[in-house]
Amino acid sequence: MSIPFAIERITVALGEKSINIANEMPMFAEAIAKTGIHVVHETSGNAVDLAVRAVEEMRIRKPESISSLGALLVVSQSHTMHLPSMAFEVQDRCSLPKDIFAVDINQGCSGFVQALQIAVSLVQDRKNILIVCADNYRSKLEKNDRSTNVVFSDAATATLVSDRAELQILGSSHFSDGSGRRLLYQSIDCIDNSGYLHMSGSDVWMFTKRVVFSQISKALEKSGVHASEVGQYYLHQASNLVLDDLKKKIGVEASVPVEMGLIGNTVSSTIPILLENRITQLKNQISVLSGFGVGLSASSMVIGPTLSEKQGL
Amino acid sequence: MDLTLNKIIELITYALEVEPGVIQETTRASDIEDWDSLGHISILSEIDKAFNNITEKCPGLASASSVKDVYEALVDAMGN
Repeated sequence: MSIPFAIERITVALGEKSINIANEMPMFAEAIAKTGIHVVHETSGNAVDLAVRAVEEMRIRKPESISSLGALLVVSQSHTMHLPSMAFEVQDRCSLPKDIFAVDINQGCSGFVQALQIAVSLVQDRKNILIVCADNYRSKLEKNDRSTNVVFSDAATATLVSDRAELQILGSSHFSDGSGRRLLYQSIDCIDNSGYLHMSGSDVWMFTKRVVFSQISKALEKSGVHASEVGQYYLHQASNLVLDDLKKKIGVEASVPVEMGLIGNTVSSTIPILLENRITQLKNQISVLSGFGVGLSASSMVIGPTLSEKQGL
Repeated sequence: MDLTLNKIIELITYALEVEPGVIQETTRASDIEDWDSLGHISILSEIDKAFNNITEKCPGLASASSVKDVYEALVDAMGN
């Protein structure tokens, strides 16, 4: 039986410096037409600083839920320390309750969907769960690498999941292929690629073409939902080069929001940023969430209203 | 659409937004500033539009680093 849950609220903290690519990186300006990304955000702090901003914003919006938090899941690949987990620094700096289940999920662009899957499996026991996605990929970029500089953006999001019966996971599908681990990576010892992020863009692009749509189809099949019943597809906002192909495969009649032009590719935060102002829509229709990238990995999930929500009870 | 070397040169020229004549049979990615990772995705995207998503059957195209490599990978994929 599906576990009921609700997404109560999402808060967003973008890197404090907005970089207009055309003005501040004119040598890369031609890429804008290909990526669809005009502005990226950069933080002078680190991923935990961004995470703290998103959590503090959540505390203002949902103080009672934060003070009774049962679990904290931090999705990041921008760790400030090898150990302990980033979740402990977030817990301490935000003065979150100590009787919580706190763990890191070391994942990139698939991370939010994976964290939501875990959060829902914990929600009956833990009640209020905070998923924090936080990355400052811009600190990992070689400044002459056009392919990464015109895409990646620093941000954190906090997503509050509760056990209120509003939504349910109808089906999900996860894909992990470690043979592609060297196609998008950063070495820990700063030797490979001088410690900068390496992205073999064409390999990753071909992976998304090969895997993501069929994986979404698999999640739909598992959920018993026909594509025509899906209200919205919330896809990882990688760049137009990736999304254009996916949109074509999903079909012109489908609704696939794209909101990265003034935000950039914020790694695991792209899906919660899309959802921030669409939480109400989630409980009125069937939605597909799909994240994909580093690993290589792809995670897709079909969610929809619980029966009582459907019947307006 | 017929696969010819000239057609590939035309697609690469369009994808990289360079002047006609810049891309030739002997051109390598390292010769062209904009033929980086992003430029290569643009090339593959144009090839897909012209040849009905052929890249999905041709993983070798991801590492093709010259006009000749691109052409030969496509010839293999099409079984010509």
